[in-house]
Amino acid sequence: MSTEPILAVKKLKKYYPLKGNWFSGKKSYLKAVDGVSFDVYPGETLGVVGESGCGKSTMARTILRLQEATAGEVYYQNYNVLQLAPDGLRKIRQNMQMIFQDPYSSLNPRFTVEQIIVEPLIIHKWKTATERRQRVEELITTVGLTKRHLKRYPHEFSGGQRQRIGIARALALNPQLVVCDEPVSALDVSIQSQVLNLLKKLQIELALTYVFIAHDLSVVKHISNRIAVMYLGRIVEIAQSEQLYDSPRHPYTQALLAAIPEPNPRLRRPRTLLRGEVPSPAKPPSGCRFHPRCPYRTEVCSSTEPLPQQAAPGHTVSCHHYKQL
Amino acid sequence: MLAIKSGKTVSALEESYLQMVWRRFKRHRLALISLIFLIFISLLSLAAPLITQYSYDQSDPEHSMEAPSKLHWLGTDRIGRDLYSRLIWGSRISLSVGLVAAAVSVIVGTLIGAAAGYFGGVVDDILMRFTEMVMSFPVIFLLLTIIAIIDRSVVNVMLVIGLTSWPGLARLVRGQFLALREMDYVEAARALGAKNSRIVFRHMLLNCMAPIIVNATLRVGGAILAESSLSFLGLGITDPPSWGTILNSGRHYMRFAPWITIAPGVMIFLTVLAFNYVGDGLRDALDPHLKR
Repeated sequence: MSTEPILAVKKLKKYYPLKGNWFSGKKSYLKAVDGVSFDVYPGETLGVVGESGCGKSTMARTILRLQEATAGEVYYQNYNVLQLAPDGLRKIRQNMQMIFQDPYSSLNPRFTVEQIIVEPLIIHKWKTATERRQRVEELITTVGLTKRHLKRYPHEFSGGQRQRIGIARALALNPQLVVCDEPVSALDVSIQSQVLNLLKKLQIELALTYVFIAHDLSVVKHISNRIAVMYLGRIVEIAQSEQLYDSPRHPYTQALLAAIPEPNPRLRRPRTLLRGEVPSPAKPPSGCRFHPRCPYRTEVCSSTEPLPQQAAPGHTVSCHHYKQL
Repeated sequence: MLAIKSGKTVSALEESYLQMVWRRFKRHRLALISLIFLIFISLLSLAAPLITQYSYDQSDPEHSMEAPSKLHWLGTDRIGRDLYSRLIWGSRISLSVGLVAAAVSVIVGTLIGAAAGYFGGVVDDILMRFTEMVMSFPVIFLLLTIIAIIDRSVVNVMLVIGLTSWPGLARLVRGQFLALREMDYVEAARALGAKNSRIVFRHMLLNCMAPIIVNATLRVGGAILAESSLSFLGLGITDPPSWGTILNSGRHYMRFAPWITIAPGVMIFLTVLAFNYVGDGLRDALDPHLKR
């Protein structure tokens, strides 16, 4: 692993304006992503986990500029992605692709599989029709389908097959970075591992870098080198996978790990159950955002925001009491 | 059992989208009959010079207001013009006004609705307020005013009807676009670097063709009706006469020469009804939620 990050995200923020009070003119915001920073290094997989609504998907979309960020910076190699003009952005997008969560809505139902996979090649003006055709055939076999499938429409495929088609489309332009937005959470459990294995295989063969988003630590564990845990628009802990699994320091990470079902009853750990709901990102709690649900909270937690601190080399955690945990 | 099953699935897979639509359309009896009727009428109007022995404006005062006979199949009007010839020639006007006005209305409505739905925000606000304005004009009054000011040619009538009837479609297309904009495949196209035009035309428009086609079909009937109303009020096309004009010419003699009004009235009625049934059949055939 080289030391130059392929993707650097700095204090990224995405706020959605809410209907303000018409009389007072006060505007309030839904802070979906609120100051997220991390680096991704070539060839690695960064897993991102968190509950539904914590801003994982919004973060992914903001990085790829499918939505405009409110503040912050995103660097892909040396390009400042958020400042690029449309033409520059179009070029960069060849290198940064996305795999979507819902394989049913991510493929245009009126296109054949061939039209779906060839579209990126047409957009980026790949030379001749025969070359494009060759590339499409190569791609469809890479993802484990056959040439015969090219003439069919998406509705004729199962969820897993559709996700493979989506993967083929994302890989068409030889990207280096692929953002996977919960690519397996809409699939049957039996299919999930097939798609995960495919993604792993492709990563090795094509030297891909993944940002892998999931709401399930057990899925992320299989594929990630490093894992970032998100809560209410912030990253609360980021570490190497083994480190995170063996010695989680943030109480939220501990609770998430405790929630993974353990098939062996003798190995069952005592569970720290989380109480309450995720607070609304429109009105995040004061101080540490996790404090209303935290079993270890003290006074400082509700008043002061914890800064990211280094718990070990490569292991950053945002908690006042991480040393005791 | 197995053989039958596999045979069926293979054929179902190889059936194209259009074949499927046609198969489902055929199940709607009335729509099928209506379609045949419309094709028949269109052929008659195309063949007008071949199948009429009188011209539409050749008068013969000695045979005025004659009842249908062997010589004049549908009778004659006040100045002895052959009603059958006038009706066939008139179908050219009524049908072409219907088709062209509907096309104008569909193009304008689709573009405005698509722009409003795709761009949203201020563009949406401005376009939709404009749409509501056009919608709240008393259309017949507007038509009368415009036609009274400008030259009363076929093209002008087509344009006026087309340019006043698009708001409904604009709202429909806007609604579809608002929903489609949130689809992942639209976002995927953007992530691939597709330009707005490609996203709008290749992805979004393609996926709301079904309601647009259905609406366009219903709109042809509406446009024929609008033209007939204009003509009936004496502001329509007279040379050659449209169905509405013929209807108007007979309205004073309904008691002693009812055939002058009945024939064009029946044609307008049947044609508009047929377009509505075809639209209905298309709606059923194109609806992806119904069983194949």
